[in-house]
Amino acid sequence: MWRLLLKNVIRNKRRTLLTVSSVAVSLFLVSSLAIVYTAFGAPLQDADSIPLMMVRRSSGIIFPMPASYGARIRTVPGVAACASLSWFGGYWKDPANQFANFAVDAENVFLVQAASQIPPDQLEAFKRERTAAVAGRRLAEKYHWKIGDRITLLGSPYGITPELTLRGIFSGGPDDQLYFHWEYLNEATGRRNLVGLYWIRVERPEITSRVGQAVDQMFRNTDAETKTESISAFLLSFISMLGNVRGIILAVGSAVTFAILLIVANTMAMSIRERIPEAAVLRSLGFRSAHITGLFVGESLVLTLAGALLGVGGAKVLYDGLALSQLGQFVFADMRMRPVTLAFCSSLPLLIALLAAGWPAYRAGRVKIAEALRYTG
Amino acid sequence: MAIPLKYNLRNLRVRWVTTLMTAASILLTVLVFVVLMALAQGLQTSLSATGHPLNLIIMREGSQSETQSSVQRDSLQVILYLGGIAKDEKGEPWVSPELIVLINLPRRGQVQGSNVTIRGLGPDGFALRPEFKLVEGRPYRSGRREVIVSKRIAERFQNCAVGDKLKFAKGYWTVVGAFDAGNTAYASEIWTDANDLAQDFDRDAYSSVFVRAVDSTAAKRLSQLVADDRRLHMKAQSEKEYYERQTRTAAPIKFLGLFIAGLMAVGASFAAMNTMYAAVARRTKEIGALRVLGFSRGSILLSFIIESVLIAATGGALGCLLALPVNGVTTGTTNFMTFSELAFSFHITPALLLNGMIFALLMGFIGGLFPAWRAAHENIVTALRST
Repeated sequence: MWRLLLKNVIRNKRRTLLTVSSVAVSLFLVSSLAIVYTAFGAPLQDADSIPLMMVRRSSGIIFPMPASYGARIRTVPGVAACASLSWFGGYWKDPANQFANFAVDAENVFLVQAASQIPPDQLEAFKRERTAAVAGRRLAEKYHWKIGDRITLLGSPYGITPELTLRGIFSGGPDDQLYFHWEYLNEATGRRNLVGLYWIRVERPEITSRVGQAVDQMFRNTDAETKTESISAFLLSFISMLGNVRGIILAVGSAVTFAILLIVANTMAMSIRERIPEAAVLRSLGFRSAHITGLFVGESLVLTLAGALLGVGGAKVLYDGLALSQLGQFVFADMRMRPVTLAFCSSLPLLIALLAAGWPAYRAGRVKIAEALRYTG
Repeated sequence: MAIPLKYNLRNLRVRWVTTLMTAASILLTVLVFVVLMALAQGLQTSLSATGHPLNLIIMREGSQSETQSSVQRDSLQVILYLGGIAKDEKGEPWVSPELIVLINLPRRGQVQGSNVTIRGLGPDGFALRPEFKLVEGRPYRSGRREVIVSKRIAERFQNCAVGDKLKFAKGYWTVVGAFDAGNTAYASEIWTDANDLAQDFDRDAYSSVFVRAVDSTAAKRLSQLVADDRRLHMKAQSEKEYYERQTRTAAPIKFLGLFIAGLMAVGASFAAMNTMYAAVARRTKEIGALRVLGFSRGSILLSFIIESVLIAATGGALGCLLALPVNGVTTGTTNFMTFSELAFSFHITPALLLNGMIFALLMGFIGGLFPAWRAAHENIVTALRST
C-alpha cells in the first residue's frame, strides 16, 4: 500500500516537482512572515528570564535625563550593574551606511550586557582610550573593519563628528551596534551632562518589576521623571511605533496560505480525476473506499510535507543564522525560528493536505465502479 | 493562421474548476502586490505632496530633519532681513519661526504610544501652508496653552478630540480646534503657538524657520544667501525638496512588497504551469488533429500561451478589483527620519493597477510557455494515436 502511494507520487514527476517547489517557496514565505510576526509580538525569546531593564524619561524616549542618575540608580537594591546609553545617530562615510551607534558608559556597558563576549584585552583597550570604539561582529564584518581602524561618524543630530579608533569587536549580543565613550560626546557638546537612557542589569529576573518601581519612585516629582521597564517591553514600545505591522503580516500570511491550498487542491483534483478508472480497478480488486480515499490523501500529504521540509526547513536554517537582528535603527529582536513558530509552520502543511485532497479523494472512493471504469477522464 | 480564441475560451469553460483555482492563486498574488504597493505609494505621496514651491525651510547645517535642527533667536533676526522674502499684507517679511517637539501619545485602543510631532508656529505659519484648513472649533490663541489637532491624528490617538485636554511639558493643553491638511505630512501634526511651546519646554532656540520667497529666482538666491552667510551656519532648502528626501522611508515597505509578491509569483506560476501541462496532456489528440488540419507549430504555441495568459488576466483583473477598497484607508507608521508618527492613506494609482496586470500576465506567460512549447512539438502521428 505504501509502495503504491509513493509510486503514485512520482508517477507524474514534473507535476510533483512543480507542486512541491511551489509549496516549498510559499511555505518559506509563510515561515518568514510567521517569524517576523512572533518577533514583533515578543522581540526576545524567554523574555521573563532576561534580567535586563531600560530606564527612559517618562515623557518620551527623545528627552534626555541627567547623567547624575546613574550613580543613584546603582544604589537601588537589586541593581547589579547600570550603564548609560545615548543614541548618537551617526553614519559611516555615506548616509546609506546607517546602523545603531551609541555613546555609552564604557566602564559598565559590558557588565550590563553580559551576553556579549569581548576579549578582556580588547575591553581594557576600549576603556583606557577616550576616543576608542567597539563594534559588534556582524557590523564589523559588514564594513570590513579591523581592530585599529579609524572610524569617523558623520551626520549626527548632535552636530559633532567623532573620530574613533576601533579597539574591540564583541559578539553574542546585539551584534549590529557600535559603542563609544559618552565622555567624548559630553566634552564635545559642551558638558551638558545629559544621557538618553540607562541600561540596568538586575540580580535576578524575578525582581525586575520591583526594581523598576523603586527606580521610578526615586525620581518621582523631579524635572525628569523616569519610566523603567523590561528590555522586552522597551523594544515592544518601539515596535508599536511602526504601526499595525502584525495586522498586515497576518493578512498577507492568510492570503499566502490560501494560495498554497488552492495550488495543492488543484494538483490533487487533476491527478485524482485522471485516475478515477484506476481507483475503480482497485475497488474491483477488493480495496475499500476508505483505502482509496486514504491513498489519495496520503499522496497529498507527501507533496505538502516534502514542500514543508524544503520551505520551513530552509527558513529555519536561514533565519537561525541571523540570531539577534536589528530592525530599523534602534530595535533588535530575536529572529531565530522559535519552537512555537516551527510547530505552527509544520502543522500548516498537514491541514492544507487534508483540506486540499479530502473532498476529491472522498468522491473518488465513492464512485460507482461500473461508471468509473467507463470514465475516460 | 491563428487558432480562434473561441477554442481557448471553450476549453477554459469546460475545465472551469481548474481554471478558477489557478486564476485564484494569481488573484491572491496580485492582490497582495497591489495592496502592499499602495501602502508604499500612500506613504510616498503624503511626503512628496507636501510643500509650497516657493516656501523655503531654513535649518542648521547638517541636520537631516527639523527635529534635529536648532535656530538661535539672533539668527532669526538675520534671516528676517535677507532679500527676496515676500511681504505679507502688513508689509512684514513672510516668515514663520517654528519649534518642533515630539511627545509620546497612546494610540486609540492601545497602551503603547507613538511619537507625535507638535509644531509651534509663528503668526505667519498658517498662511505659509495653503493646504491648511480649520474644520472644527477655532484657532489657538497664544499664551493660553491651546492646540489644534489634525483630523488624522485625532482619529488615531487618544485625548485629541476638540475639548479634550493633553498633558505634556508643564501642564495640560486644551484642544480647541481640528484641522485638515489634505494628504500632506502636516496632517500628522498638532499645532500651537511657537512661543507658548518654547516657554513650556524651556527652549530658547527654534527648530527651523519657514520663509516665502517672492518668486523662484528669489528662492534660489535666498538659499545661496543663507549658505554664504558666515554668521548663520544654516542651510535653506525648498520645503518640497525637504519632504521629497524623506520619501525613502517608503523603501522598506516597497522592498517587502516586492519580496512577498515575488515569492508568491513563483508559487502561482508553477501552479499555472501545472494546469497548462495537464491541459496539454488531455488534449494531445486534439493538438494532433489541429496540426493535420494545417495549423502550424507557431499557432499551437501561441494558442496555449494565450490560454494561460487568459487565466492569468482573469486572476489579475479580479485581484486589482478586490484591492480597490483599501484605497483611502488611513493608517500610520513612524517616519524614522523625523522619529515621529506619519499618518497616511493607502493610495492606488492607475499605474499601480497597470503594474499589477503586467505582473499577472507575466505569471501567465511564464506558466504557459513550457507547456505550450511541448504542445507545439508533439509528433503528429503519436499525438493522433494517443487516447
